[in-house]
Amino acid sequence: MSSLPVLDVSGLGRRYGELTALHDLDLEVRPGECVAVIGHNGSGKTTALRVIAGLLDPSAGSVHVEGTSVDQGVGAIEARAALALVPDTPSLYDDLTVREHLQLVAVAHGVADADVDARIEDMLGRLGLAEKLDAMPVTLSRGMRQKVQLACALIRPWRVLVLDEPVVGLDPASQRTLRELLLEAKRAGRAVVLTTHQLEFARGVADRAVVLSEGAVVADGPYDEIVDGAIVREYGLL
Amino acid sequence: MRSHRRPFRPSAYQVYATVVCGAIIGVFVRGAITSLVGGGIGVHGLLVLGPAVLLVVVLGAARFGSWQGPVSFSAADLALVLTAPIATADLVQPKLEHSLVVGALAGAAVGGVAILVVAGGPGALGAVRSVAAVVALASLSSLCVAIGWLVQSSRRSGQRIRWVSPAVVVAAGGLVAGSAVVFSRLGMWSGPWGWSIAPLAGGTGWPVALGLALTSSAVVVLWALRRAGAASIEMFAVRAGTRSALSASAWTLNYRTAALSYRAAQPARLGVRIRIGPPARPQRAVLWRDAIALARDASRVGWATLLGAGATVGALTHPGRLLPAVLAAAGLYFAASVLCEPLRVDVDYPDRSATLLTWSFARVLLAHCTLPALTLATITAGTVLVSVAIGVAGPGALVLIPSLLIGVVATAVLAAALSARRGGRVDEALLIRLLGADPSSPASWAMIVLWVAPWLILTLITLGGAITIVGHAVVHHRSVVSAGVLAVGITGAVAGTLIGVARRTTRPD
Repeated sequence: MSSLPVLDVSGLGRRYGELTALHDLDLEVRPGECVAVIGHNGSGKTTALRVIAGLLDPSAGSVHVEGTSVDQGVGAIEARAALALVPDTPSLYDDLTVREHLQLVAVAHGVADADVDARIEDMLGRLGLAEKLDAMPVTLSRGMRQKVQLACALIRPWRVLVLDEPVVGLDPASQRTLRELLLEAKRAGRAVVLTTHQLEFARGVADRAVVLSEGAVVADGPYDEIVDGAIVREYGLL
Repeated sequence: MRSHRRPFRPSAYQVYATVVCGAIIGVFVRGAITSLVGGGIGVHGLLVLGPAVLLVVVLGAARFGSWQGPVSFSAADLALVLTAPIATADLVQPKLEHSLVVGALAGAAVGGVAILVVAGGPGALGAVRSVAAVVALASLSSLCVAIGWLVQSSRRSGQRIRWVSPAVVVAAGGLVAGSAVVFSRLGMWSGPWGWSIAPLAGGTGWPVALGLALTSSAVVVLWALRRAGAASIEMFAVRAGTRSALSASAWTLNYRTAALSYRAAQPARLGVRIRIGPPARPQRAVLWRDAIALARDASRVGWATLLGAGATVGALTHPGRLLPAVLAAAGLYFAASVLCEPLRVDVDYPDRSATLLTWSFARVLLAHCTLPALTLATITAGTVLVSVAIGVAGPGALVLIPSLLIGVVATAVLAAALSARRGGRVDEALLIRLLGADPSSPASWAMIVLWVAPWLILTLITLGGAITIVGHAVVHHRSVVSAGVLAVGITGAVAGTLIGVARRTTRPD
């Protein structure tokens, strides 16, 4: 595993008016590493991921991908594009089919080469959506739409995959497929950051756990040590 | 339920109050109408415009049925009554009959007004024709209610009505043109919307037309009553939700949510389920996405064509006049606005484009302007070519295509896109200020209009001015080239400024 972080979050903070949802978050994720951000409801997990992915502007701090700031300066756009987000709530276009969603993402990221359709079919087949290539999102269940959202993130080039509650709505078989995909990504040297309340899902996938409470980091260490330790009970995670 | 319904018995006071108020209001209304119109618009005007207007009214009734309809149930009714073991027809029929009666009364009232407007009063028509005119319009009104129910109770009909609406509007325009140019009674004989004005218009054959009007209305009303049981609880539930959402949206001037609620109540759009192969270049990703969206919502193409072509013809046929030029500018703006719907979708859910495309919002906004600009340019250029070919405009209009058109289309599309960026709702702080504004003060109204529709106003001024400048040169035989250069300069400068503004837009919250 390389020693230089692919994702470097430093002093990240976010306020909503008077409410401080996130303050002073430091997080480094190295290539091939998976970090699970865990915490009780309202601890700031989703805010942290949304700020990292660029959906929210930080009130303080910075986010760097492979040493390049995602907010300003030369290379910010490319650095931002290296982050792929799978949000907690799937958000798809009502008038595009599943296949067209992935084609749109592939084209927008410059990877719509001659075999893009084959890659799309392969990706959707692994996620159990082979029969839904030409389906419209309104005809899909929430879990299926979540899988389409995941496929949209995976079909394009990325260095850091950010997943917010990725297993909500997924059946056990799909959860196993997701674990395999994340392990493959790690073996390929990419980085993963995810939030989840399902601590057993992340076991064997996540290398580290970062525990948030009231917008601040209260623990950061090897996943099994954190999850099997007292701190998860102290903060209501078990 | 019907056997337990209490019969309606108004009290003496209610009758007295109704008669007194009706008489007072009636006197005022009669006085207002006759003073406004001065005794009549004339039979010729009635024959030319009446059928087209009534055709659009019938279309409006059908479209109303596609998202609301004449029969509605409250949320409480849905939960308690519709789920009870009572036949839907038994619940719907009384409401439908009530709506038909109210419709007929409303139509009769319109008939009374029409007698005043067209003939100056029943004395000029005679008793028979006056009664026939009132009955004819009452029957048309009931027909509209019945059509509304037929559309409401049929999902497919709702889809089809929305798809054919632009064509019906064009047909109405055709009736006006045909009645004005070819045969004055063309519209009168074109269908129930024309038969119902026959007693007012007079002439030979009006009793036959009246008979046709009454027969067609009776047939449709009976058909509607037979379909009283054809509706589903889901349909009523969606419409009840739409009413709530529209009411809430109206209070907060949130017209985007109102539009989305209205759209959600309608059946899925009919469109062409074609496959367009994805492009290779990333810059064309949004253009490709917009093309698919446009193909799958055919009515948008229809409305944009109607508005864009109408605006172009209006500008070509009334050169040098300010009001037609401003109306043309408005038509182009609204045509562009219709075509900018995919941008509005991205504004509704800004995270979506940020997650899928990872482009800056400014880039997304400008990318969404490409297809509307190409489509609107094609519509307006095509209209100019056709107008010149059929002699509506002179060959000099061809100069407009490469020159003014680019700036005009770009300005209209960019203004519509920047307006769409606002999300179709009024900022909370502004809303509070608007609610506190003094309604008697012109300055307050100016503020309201400027804040609510700045991009439309900019378009009206810029494009209206540019179109007027060129038209003025044509009419007064001045240098069209110079006028064209000036107009291109104005529109180009504004379009360039708007591009600069668009480049600095940020993602909506």
